[in-house]
Amino acid sequence: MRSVWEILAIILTVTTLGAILSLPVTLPLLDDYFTPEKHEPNTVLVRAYVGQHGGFEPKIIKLKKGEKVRIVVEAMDLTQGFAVDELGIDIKPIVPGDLQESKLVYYMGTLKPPVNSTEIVVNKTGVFKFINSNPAGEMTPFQIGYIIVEGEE
Amino acid sequence: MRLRDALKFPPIAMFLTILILGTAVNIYASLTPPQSYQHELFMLNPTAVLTETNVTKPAKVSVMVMTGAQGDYAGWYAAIEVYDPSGNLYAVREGRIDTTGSATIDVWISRFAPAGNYTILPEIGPDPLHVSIGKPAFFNVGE
Amino acid sequence: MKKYMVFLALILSILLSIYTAASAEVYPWVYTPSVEVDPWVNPRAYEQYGSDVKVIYINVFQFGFNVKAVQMGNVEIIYPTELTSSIIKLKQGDKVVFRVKSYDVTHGIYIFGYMPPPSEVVYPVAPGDVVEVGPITFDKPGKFKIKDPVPCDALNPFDYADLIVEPNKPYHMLLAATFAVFVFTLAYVSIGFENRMLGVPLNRELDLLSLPLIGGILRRIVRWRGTTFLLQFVNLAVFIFIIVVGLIGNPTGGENFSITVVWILWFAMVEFMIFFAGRLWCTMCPMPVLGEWLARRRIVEVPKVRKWFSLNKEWPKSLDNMWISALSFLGISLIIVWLTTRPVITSLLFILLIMLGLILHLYNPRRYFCRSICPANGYIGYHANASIFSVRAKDRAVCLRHRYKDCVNGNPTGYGCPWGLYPGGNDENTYCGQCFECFRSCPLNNMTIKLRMVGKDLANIARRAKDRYDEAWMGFIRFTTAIFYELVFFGPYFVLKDWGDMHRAWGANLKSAGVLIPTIHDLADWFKWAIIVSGIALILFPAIFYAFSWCANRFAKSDLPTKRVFLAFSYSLAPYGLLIWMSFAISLLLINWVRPINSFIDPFGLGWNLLPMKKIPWHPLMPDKLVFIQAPFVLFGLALAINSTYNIARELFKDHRKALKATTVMSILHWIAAIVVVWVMAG
Repeated sequence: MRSVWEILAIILTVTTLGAILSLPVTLPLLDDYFTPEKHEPNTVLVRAYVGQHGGFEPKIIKLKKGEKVRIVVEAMDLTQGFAVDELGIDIKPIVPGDLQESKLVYYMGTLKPPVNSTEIVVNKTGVFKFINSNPAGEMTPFQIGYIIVEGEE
Repeated sequence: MRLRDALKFPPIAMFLTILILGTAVNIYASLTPPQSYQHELFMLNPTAVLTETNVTKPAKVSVMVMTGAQGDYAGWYAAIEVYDPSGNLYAVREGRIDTTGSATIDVWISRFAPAGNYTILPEIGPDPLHVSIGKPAFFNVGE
Repeated sequence: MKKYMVFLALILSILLSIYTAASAEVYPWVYTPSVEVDPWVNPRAYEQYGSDVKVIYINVFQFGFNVKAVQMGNVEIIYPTELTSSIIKLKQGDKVVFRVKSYDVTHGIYIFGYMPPPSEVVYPVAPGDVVEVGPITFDKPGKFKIKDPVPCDALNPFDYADLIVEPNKPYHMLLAATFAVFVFTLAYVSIGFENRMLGVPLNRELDLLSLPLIGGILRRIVRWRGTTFLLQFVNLAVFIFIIVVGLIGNPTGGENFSITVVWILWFAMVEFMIFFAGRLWCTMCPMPVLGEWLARRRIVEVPKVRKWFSLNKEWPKSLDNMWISALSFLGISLIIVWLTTRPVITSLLFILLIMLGLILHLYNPRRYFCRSICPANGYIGYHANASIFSVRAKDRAVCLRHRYKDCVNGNPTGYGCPWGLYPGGNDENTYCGQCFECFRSCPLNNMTIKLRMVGKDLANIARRAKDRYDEAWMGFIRFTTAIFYELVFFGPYFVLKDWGDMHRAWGANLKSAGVLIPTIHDLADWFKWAIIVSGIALILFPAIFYAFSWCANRFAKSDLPTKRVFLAFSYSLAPYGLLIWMSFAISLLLINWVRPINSFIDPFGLGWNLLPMKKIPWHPLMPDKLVFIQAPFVLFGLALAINSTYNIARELFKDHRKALKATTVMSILHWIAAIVVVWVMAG
């Protein structure tokens, strides 16, 4: 016959370990909840990994024609870039993680605050390829995705 | 103390095991040329071809993923990423390139899936971590 | 045994030297026009900056720095592409411009003590770009690290070059300090004080649980079964979380909770815990708890009738030693480059340890997994004898009179010692896991916590250790790996790091674990690393130690066999190795302190904000004072090593003059080791 303390300890252990072990299933929900950019209106979050880690996530961005959208790109492992030649977008260098909180980043002879986002309005429908414009190893040419702009012509 | 006892002494045994294995591997490596798939990846040009571009849910959509490159890619990894009308990742399905140079991969659109324009991205590579991504293909899911 | 060991060590050393030399590339210093080096090396750069400015051309890559050329006026010096190309030597007052280029991914450059920290400004160097930094006037002498502060994947935390501004006064000062400590400690022991450590009597102890007010509170805490459960439960939850995050979180180690919290925070904290609190980590270690709870069929309480869920087989005597712990710790050192940078590897190791703990408890319900298998147990137990903390009987006479021995057999209030000891008679920390079960089972309240001077038990342990080769080798492995880790992880020798990394470059979680599959060439290079590490730890250093022990024995004109003296003196490495590990832990914490904090904000490395604060951009704390913070640990360790050697020798030889002679010889080795450590840190 187990004491109350023993039963409480078992319950505490099982529930805590169960919650932790269920993280692979609950992670997408937690990710939606704890990622600030996912709560901001008209904001698309793109996570940029090197090609070996999956490239861009997501690889498809769907927009409406004429809609103002802020695209935020997070470099997840090393410095990345985000460019859509047809739309004139080129955000780089996107420094990873905590370096986004640095005061200044040196780029092309100037010092400026770290960048990782841009606001766009696309006034034409179509499929536009985005690439990593900041070389990130041998799989850089394969880090691609597509912006699909839908709407009436 | 005999040599046999010395060889059984755990630190010496461990070190000698590493030394012997290391020597063997280094000799083998010196006789083996290095391999790289970088050039093939550039030539792959994956394409997704759908048998039907308009389906009513629930439905099974068959996608043929093929490479535009010459050569034998049988056994190579192929995959499709399927995005729903809102741009959310709906499914990832995998397969292997066969001797005809293509892989047929099915994706099931359930009755609970949203209706609208879906996007498919084809991928081919020697393994899941080194893939070339092709142009998107589209299909429409009706109620 | 002696002849064979020396002979074998000699042969193997020769083989190793030939093998390593054959693998290294060696080029002579050459003077050639810059166009033969790289087109980006600008032969006219000196005109831009003035002829008194040095222009240093650096290629930064995964994972290191290569100085390609140094230009002063129109004179260029091309560095050979070998190990020393990542060590820059300047003179005090030199004015330098760095032209930095990368060919693979975006890197950065940050010079400790001479550039603003990355929290202020970051200098990313993208492939194809040339970034200029400077001119910087190097007016402070010493050794400064050049670090790549921009994450460039897996081994970025270890991406260093060395910059030495001569005259390297801090280095010379530290060398002088080691000599001073060597001389003064020897002078102190020559006085002949018995049973003391650096002036403090070793028989002086403080019974912590007998202190007024606080003693009572501590006793209640320690005796309460809930204390152990809560400590173990919290750590078990954290470690299971670490396993899960390692499998599904960000594949880059520096962004993942599993790497930052385990290999920066825990790894460093454990060394300090050992010194101040003995085996307190083992009190709360989560690895064996699932197995122990299952075997006991209980988590917290003690059942009236004990029915083990275990086969209850006798543990094989051949395994009841430290060999597996010691050699598995070395085995972990062989994969340490992966372990500390790839979350999936950390997760897999922890899964393995927890499963082993579970399975072995089903074989025997005692802590034999901990005693004989766990790699952490080996070194924690070995170094815990240098701790100021101990669990002992208050009064041994009480235990001797007490017939039933509840601390061994257990009773309704506590289990018998899970570590298979007789707590009442225990006089060393090596195998006592500080589970405090004896506090609960002792009906006479005769167990207590004693604080004492470092090294109190060493002489006795050394005297008894007639065949404890396992413990001796634990000491050698720990001592050499402490120096090696400091050299490899914070040093400029990128070739060694690359070998240890199998040239894999990328981080890995479970999904991307395939990036770790090595080619045969990568494996071949890893074996070179493995041969060097294991050769030094298992053969070379023990052989040198043996040679010194033999000399010490002869000089002391002792009748004892050298083997006995060798094994006994190896225990002087318990405090010495611990203090060197503590100095390594200091550098780990001061350089990488930001990473565990950021991991509590964003454990999966996905860009979360769990805490109401922004992430802190990486920057080290007190980077130009690091060596002066580390040095006291090394010097204290040297003093302890010399005094411990004397105490052990006194116990062995029972004669002051013999002990002093032997100590003098061994102290030379300890002093040489201190010089090596100081050179690694500051030279």
